[in-house]
Amino acid sequence: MNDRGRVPFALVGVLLLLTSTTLAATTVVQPSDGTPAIEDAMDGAAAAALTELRGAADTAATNAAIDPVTEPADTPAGRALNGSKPFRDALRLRLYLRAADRLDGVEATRGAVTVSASLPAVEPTTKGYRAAIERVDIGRAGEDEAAMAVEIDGVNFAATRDGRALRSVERSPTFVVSNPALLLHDRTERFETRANAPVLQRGLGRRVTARLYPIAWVRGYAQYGGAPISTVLGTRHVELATNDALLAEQRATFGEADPNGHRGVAAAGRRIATTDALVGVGGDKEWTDTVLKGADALGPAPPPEQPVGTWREEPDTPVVTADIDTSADRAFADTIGVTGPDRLEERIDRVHTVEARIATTTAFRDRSRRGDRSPGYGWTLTSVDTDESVDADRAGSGGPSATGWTTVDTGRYDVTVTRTTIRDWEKDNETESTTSVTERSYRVRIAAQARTVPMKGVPDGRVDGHLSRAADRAGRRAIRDVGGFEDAAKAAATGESVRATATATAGWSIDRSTVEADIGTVRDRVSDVSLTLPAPSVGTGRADPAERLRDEFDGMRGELLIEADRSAHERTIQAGRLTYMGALDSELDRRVSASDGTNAGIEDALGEYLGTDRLDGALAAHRGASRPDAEPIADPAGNLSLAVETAPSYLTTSGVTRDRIDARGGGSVYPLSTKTVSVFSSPHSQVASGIFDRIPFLSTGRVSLSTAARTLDAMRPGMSKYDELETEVEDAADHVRGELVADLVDSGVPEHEAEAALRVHAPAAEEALMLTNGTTIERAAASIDGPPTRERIELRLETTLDSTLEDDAARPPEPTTTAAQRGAKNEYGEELEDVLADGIESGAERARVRLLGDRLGAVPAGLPILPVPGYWFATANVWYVSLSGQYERFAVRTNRGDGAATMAYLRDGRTAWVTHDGDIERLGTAERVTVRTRTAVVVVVPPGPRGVGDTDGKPIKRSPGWGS
Amino acid sequence: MSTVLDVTICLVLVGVAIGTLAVAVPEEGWRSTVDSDPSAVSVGTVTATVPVEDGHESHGTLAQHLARATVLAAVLDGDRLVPSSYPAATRRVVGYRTADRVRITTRWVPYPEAPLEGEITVGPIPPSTADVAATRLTVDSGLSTPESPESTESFATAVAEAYIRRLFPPERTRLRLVDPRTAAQGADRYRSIAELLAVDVDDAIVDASPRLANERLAAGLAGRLEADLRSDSSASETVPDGTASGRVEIVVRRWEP
Repeated sequence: MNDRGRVPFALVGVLLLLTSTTLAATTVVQPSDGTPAIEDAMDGAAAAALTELRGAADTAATNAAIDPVTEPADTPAGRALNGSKPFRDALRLRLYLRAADRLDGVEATRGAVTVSASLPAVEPTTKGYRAAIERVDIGRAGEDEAAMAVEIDGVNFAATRDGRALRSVERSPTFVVSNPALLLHDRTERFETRANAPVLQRGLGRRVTARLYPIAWVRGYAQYGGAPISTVLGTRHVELATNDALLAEQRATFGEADPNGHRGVAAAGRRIATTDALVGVGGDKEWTDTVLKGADALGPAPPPEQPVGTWREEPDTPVVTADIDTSADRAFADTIGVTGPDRLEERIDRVHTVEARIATTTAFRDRSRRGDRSPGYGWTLTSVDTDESVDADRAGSGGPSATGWTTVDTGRYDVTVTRTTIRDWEKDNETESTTSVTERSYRVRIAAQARTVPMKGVPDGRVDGHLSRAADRAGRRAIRDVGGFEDAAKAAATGESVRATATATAGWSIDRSTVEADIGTVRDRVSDVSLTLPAPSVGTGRADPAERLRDEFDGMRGELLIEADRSAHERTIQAGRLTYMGALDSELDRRVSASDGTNAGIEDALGEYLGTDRLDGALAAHRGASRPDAEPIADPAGNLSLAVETAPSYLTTSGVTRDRIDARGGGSVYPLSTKTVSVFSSPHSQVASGIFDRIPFLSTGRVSLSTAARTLDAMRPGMSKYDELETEVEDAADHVRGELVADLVDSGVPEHEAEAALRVHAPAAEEALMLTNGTTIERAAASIDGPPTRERIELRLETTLDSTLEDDAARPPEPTTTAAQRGAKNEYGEELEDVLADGIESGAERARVRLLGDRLGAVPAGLPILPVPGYWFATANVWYVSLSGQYERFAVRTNRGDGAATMAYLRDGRTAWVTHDGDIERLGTAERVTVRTRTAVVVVVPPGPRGVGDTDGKPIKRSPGWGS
Repeated sequence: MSTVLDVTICLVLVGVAIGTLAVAVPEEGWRSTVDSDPSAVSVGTVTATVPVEDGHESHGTLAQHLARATVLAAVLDGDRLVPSSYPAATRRVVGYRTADRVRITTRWVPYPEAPLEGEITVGPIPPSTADVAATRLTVDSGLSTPESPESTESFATAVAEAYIRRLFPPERTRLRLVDPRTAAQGADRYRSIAELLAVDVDDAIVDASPRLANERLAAGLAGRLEADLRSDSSASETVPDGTASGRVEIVVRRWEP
């Protein structure tokens, strides 16, 4: 067999094998070396990374909420947080560290390609932490911004095969997690801001004000009405109002308030409403039990009836009624001459007075001339002599008439004025004289005219009846004044002025008593005029009752006058009324000027404690308190609901052990501290005296006799300053009595009778009080059988009393009274403290009454608005309330969770930590939620001896925790 | 060289070449008939709300839910540690959100063959004839992993503490205990696990002190784990690392019939 040239089969086999291997190699390698595997692995890694990042963000947010940072620590990590938003920065840092930790190990393998995800490592320095924070962006997202949007910069995906790097990609994943951490923090911050809001802003200040108003008003009025209340606004009331306000704020902010707080408020309010009004001392333990624990007995739901001052009741706007009454009487007294000149008599006389004048008209009739002026040519005039004579001849009657004037008498005269001129001439020693005569004749008509004396507002009267006789008299007098008609006619003809006026008063055509009675009806109508003003604005000097009253009176002026005709009768009535109204005008003016002074004083006094703009806010808050409804919050999982849990749920002013409220740390705390200042604890305290100083006719450094007397009355002999005050009160009372006696003597009462009528046999204080409140006068008027009527005597004495009480001599010096009162209050206060241990006011009040009688309660309190005697509209008092407190624990739970526990936000003063590379570092603290605000409450009651205010001798009440 | 030998060598070489090609060249569509990746991606990205007892809800990705539920559903020697409706609810929600022919199994076990383990399965078992693809994910378990433990004892303690802490996060549990609205349920949860581990936490509950309660529970659990570790690792003597306890493994299988 020839096999040269034959290709060995084995060679073919080798070629085939080589080809197949090459083919196999290219086929197998290609898919794993191409893009699809890397892309797939990248996608897988990105998906896994995103899952981990979401988990990291969710966990970080949950941790940040339960362990928030509101105050960065002074550590490398703490310093990396921006001081203005530490919570968010802390969350960003935690999120980054957790994300970096979780991404470590995230990888996806497709074929030989492995893609692993990572985040840059964080250096444990402030700079490193800051860089980590900067790489994370967070923000609220979603419908109600209840979720959190996250963006993380610089997530690295590195693809490798067999340890060989293929590519690496950097991405910034963005995603939204359904975690309400940011919402919880923002809401809590909002709550805290509101819980520290001054009255000008929405929040606690306003809400507390709105709740304190009804409490203070109800109690203030009860005190004014004689209820045994010596503390109008006590610490417990502020506590109750604050807690209720905080619950309302929780509701507004979170849609729900701590139900335990509701129960605490209900229990507190129930105690105050049903058993007693409480004062601010004693009974702390019992009280704490009531509001914190005993509240459980009330059951889970708040009771339907809420006490005064909680939000279910809003008070009606309180008003002050101001009326003209006293002024009407005063003006009447002024008008009929009780106090000074009898203005009415003068006006009635004037109505009946006629004035007369002389009127003339002159008509030129003729002129003639006789004789020569000059003897001829060449003569020189040497002298001229002129002589004039006037002749009048009566030519009948009939004179000029004028509208508004009645002609009384007339005459018509022909008057001739003859002028004779003699001139001497000379010529060459020759003399000659010439005579020329000029005659002018006039017709002069002359009349005596009369009219009633014009009076503003009163029509001119008809000159008839007995007025015409007066007119005749006046006319005659006028004629006489001009020397008779003939002389007047001559004077008129020669161009002289003929002027004469004369008056004559006729007898009255109407009885004085009729006029007085008529004025009396006007007085009655006017004294009924009253108007109501919002009390708080009066109490703070914002509305001026005096000015409003004057405006009101101006408005009714037209109705008070009659459509008088020209008869003397009706004119007298009209004039009488006008006189009265004039007197009333000046009375009201006096009130307005006094009131201006008072208002300025009130503003100054209030301004010492609280700016008037803030007081405005307090008033607005009182008006505008409302309860907003809770709004549902939607998040990606549906409706997010929040539950507030606080410790203590009711902020007490008494001490609470931390243990009792499950708060961290030991010892006890005062959750709420309050300070209440009753500004006008007496009408002549230091603040109020500033107001008296501003009223011009009240001298400085003195107090009213009634105040001094009442203070004396409240004291016991032997107390400090008692004797001094007694002497001063006696002196002042003597002065007042002396003036009244003099007044009676002036009215014709014998002096010994007057003395006897005004003498009261009673202790100095009582006597002075009877003198100032009018009892003595009433008695005196009743006992005197004088010629003046009883009413007149009383009116006269009242007027004298009013003015006399303003005399310095009738006003004891202020320092003695103030010192005496302070001393008395302190002494009583100490006595009282022992019996107030149970903290129950009526008990305390009974004890007080037993101990002291009605002495202390009789000490007046409050600021009399318009403290001008006789014009006391109302008594006002102002309480300044400052409060501050803190929740040992403030937690907001949600209905979101991780299966094991629900997500919650907690602020309890704890330290927040961060773990990085196994090291634990302080990040900051979660400060406790604080509460702080200040406000003012104004209470105005009608005038009365007791006024309104704290009369327990403690104008400043501090809760036990205040300042501690 | 004989022809016979030549032909034989050739045939052998051709055979090898055919074999090479047959082995090396993949079948058409070898990696695209079944792809479990999209299902795995959706497990990691799709979010859902799962109801938990007491009226609260949990929101997150299916993977997050599965991881949480797996840890919560953990059993100790076959006994559920805490009663929770969350794992069952998670199974329902995840089953509803995933496609047919997908089976998800999750597993959390702090160390191999530990008596404490959590497992959840969603979806039907693939038939034996089916063409199955699987993707494996690992998700953070929420337990802080013990750092390279020194001893079996410290490892057991670390795992137990982390696990109890995961079940009862102290501050949030405390809030639950001090609030009368939720205190009763919180206490019940504690009592049921305490009974299982045979420890007493009543005074800790009264004092609203989750720290104390957790300490006792962790001690009880650590004792059980340690005993198990000792009996098991008598041969190897190596202390397991904590990587496993920090991870929940999720396997997504997809199949074509």
